[in-house]
Amino acid sequence: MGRYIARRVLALIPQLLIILALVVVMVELTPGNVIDSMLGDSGQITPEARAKLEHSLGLDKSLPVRYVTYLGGVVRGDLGVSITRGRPVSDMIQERVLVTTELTLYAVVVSIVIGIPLGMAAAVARGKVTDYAIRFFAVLFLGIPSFLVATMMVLLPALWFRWRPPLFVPLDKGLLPHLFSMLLPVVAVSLVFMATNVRMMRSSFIDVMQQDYIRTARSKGLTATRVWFKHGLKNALLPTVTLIGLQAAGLVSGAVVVEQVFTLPGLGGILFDALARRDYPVIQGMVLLVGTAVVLLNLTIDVIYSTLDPRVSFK
Amino acid sequence: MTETGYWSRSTVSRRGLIRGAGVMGVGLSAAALIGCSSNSKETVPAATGSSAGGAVASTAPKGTIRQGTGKLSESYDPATMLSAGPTYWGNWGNLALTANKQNYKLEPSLVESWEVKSPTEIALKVRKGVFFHDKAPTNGREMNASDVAYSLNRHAALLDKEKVALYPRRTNFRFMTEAVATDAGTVTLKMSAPNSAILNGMADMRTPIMPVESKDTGFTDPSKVVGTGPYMIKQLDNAGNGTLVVNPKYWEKGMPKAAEVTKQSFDTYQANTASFIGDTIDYLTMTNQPWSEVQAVQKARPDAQVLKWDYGYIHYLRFNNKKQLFQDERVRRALTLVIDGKAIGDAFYGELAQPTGPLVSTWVNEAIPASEIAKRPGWNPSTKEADIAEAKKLMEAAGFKEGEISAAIMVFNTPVHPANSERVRAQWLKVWPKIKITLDGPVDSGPFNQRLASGNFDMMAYSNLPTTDGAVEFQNFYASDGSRNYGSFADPEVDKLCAAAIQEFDIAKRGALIKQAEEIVINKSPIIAYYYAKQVAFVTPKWAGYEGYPGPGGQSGSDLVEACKFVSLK
Repeated sequence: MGRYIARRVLALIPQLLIILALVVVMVELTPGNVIDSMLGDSGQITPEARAKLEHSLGLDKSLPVRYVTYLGGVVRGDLGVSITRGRPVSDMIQERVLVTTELTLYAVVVSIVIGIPLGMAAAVARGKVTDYAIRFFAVLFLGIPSFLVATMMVLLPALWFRWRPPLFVPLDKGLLPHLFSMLLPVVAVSLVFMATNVRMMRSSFIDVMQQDYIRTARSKGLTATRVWFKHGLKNALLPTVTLIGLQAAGLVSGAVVVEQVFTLPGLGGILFDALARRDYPVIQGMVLLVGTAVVLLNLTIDVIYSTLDPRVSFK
Repeated sequence: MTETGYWSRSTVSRRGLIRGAGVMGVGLSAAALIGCSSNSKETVPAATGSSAGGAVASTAPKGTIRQGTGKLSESYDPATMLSAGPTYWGNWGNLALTANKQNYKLEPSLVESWEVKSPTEIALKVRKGVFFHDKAPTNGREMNASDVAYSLNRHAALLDKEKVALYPRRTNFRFMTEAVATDAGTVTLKMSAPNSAILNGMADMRTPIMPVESKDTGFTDPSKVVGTGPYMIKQLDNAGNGTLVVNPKYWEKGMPKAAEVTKQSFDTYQANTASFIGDTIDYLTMTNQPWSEVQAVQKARPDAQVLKWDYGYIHYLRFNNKKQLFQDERVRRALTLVIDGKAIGDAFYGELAQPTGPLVSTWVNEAIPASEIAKRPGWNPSTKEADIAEAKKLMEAAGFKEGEISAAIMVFNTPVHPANSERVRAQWLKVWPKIKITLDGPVDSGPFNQRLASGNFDMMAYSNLPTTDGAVEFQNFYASDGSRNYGSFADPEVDKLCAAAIQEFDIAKRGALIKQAEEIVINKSPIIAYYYAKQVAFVTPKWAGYEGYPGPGGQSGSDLVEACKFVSLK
């Protein structure tokens, strides 16, 4: 397994290089650039003044040269400096990455801890009121994007009850207030993923429960609970676990959007700003981070997969 | 040469009135001096602030003002930031001069008097007894002429030749070649050509005085951001959340009245609104929000104080004069005459929308008054039928009998612009069913700015919050080399009038030149100014004093931020 993991980690390098190259090219092709953004709407300057500015910001170099220079910096652990804020990108990320990580992890946990039992429950109660109710809410939550759920969570209580969700409380101000301040953002991020897990788990569990080995287990006289949890759950989890890996990128992007609405000091704030202002170093730093996280998360999923299904080999 | 009437007006300002009310109990004689500036041709007398403050009974500041702010997307450098942002966060506090919040006229601030020595040289007398915050790097030292000179040179982009373009307020200091501290208390502004707008430029709220030490400390670390303002940063994170406390050495006595200001930065407008309704912040400014949302907040917080004032964005459509179609003055004029700006404004902003010409008369003294504009063709509902008939004739004369032109409106990416553009299109279609107008966008700020700069559009729908100097504003928007002349309108007569107005120090003559230029622009129609929108803000009931402070000089929220020094707990 060690060699497999090492191989996967090594494979991360070309993957990230390709992702970064794509991002650099895409940002370059997008209309507008960081100079236009910095100049604002009074940007009617002479070509000479513009050229001077581009030179001073290092933007007069060709795209490949900038890309290679950037990669050289990354190898040395230098993610560059934000053009619009003048701060090291690594500092900006470091300040905010924990909040986004925490929000994403909580959302994963909630979507699993609630989604999987609900999916099982729906499968067990197939065709009954409970099944219909769970499926109704799952479809409902699947259809509402997390940013809309978050906006409603902020606005509606204010308009109806003159109450707004608590603002972010850092962990050092107390665990409970901190968790309380994260509660609604976690719900907003996790709903859509929880709903996906419910649906996947339900169909997978129904499928598993029709297998011969389940029939055998029942015929041995095992209790229904034991059949579900001992023989059904583990096998039904396989597609759901795969799905969680596929959801990783969506979870991170959902988290950064929801952070904005709830004013959490996570990566969302700097990412959206950097995208709007074409602040290349920040965008590249964020892509590097999120790309690495998604690839590592998928690697973790693959390892978990092997423990759930002994047939999976790491050769 | 001493200054002329343009720089010394005798009106009692609103700020003066506020202060006057404050000192009434102490003595009317003192109040009479407050807010009055000299009407003579001599140097303007010492500032009103310190004398007024001295008369106000010193009550210990109390209460915490909880402010919601937009998210911080730039550094803390007031000379290069595009938005007002942290420029107003109380800590910078003071400008060389200030614009009166009621009548837009100049008043002393950190510069207590000034003298126009010649058309190209102005001497500024720096106020004594003003101290920077008592923390590193200034450690409470007294402000001097070097700080003022350094700040003005920075704002004018004279200290960073490579990045001149990044200093958006440099046009406030047009023709300035340098600001020199000739002694500890005097700064001399030297210009290559006369610029009568330069003093108004110094009163732009985004041009605060910075200590010379900021050369070394920079503008990225909030803990090192130091000013002369009424509040000092106690703690501030990079997202813009933090606490400011009273500056005990603040020069305007009796101010500020609130003990503390907390900042909460919001990434979205919805979060800001919910926070006000949920009573976690003390005021909410509603810039560019539809009237229906204003009403919703009013309904949710019926106890809140509602403030409205005239300083707001001008909303307009601009033709690209580089496009062949719009080089024809008849086409521009015809399209302009048809538009019912009131209907467009009412639909989005309700009662906040007000008529305007190319300049908004409520904040530019020299502009043609809105009441007169409302009677002109194109603005006057009672002559609309005749205007439409005239428009049809003009369009026919231009070769488009049935208005069969085709063009796109580039629409900026905020809700009001698509809404305005849809209504413009509908009004044109009603008159010319064969007209083909498409909406291009909404376009976000990066590409929008790029296309503005390169002239890559037919028409554009946008809004601006202008400066309060009529000559500068007209120059920026309508002179052929104006920084905001997005449509590349070029008229030699307008250029001549703009140049003359900027160099004219006599207020009456200056106003006449600007009005003359405005008439030309109205007739040549490079722009359809639909309306300007009054600003509205809500304040929790516990604070008193905000109601006396609406006015221009920056963005509405920023005005309220600056107003912190005036407001007190009820």
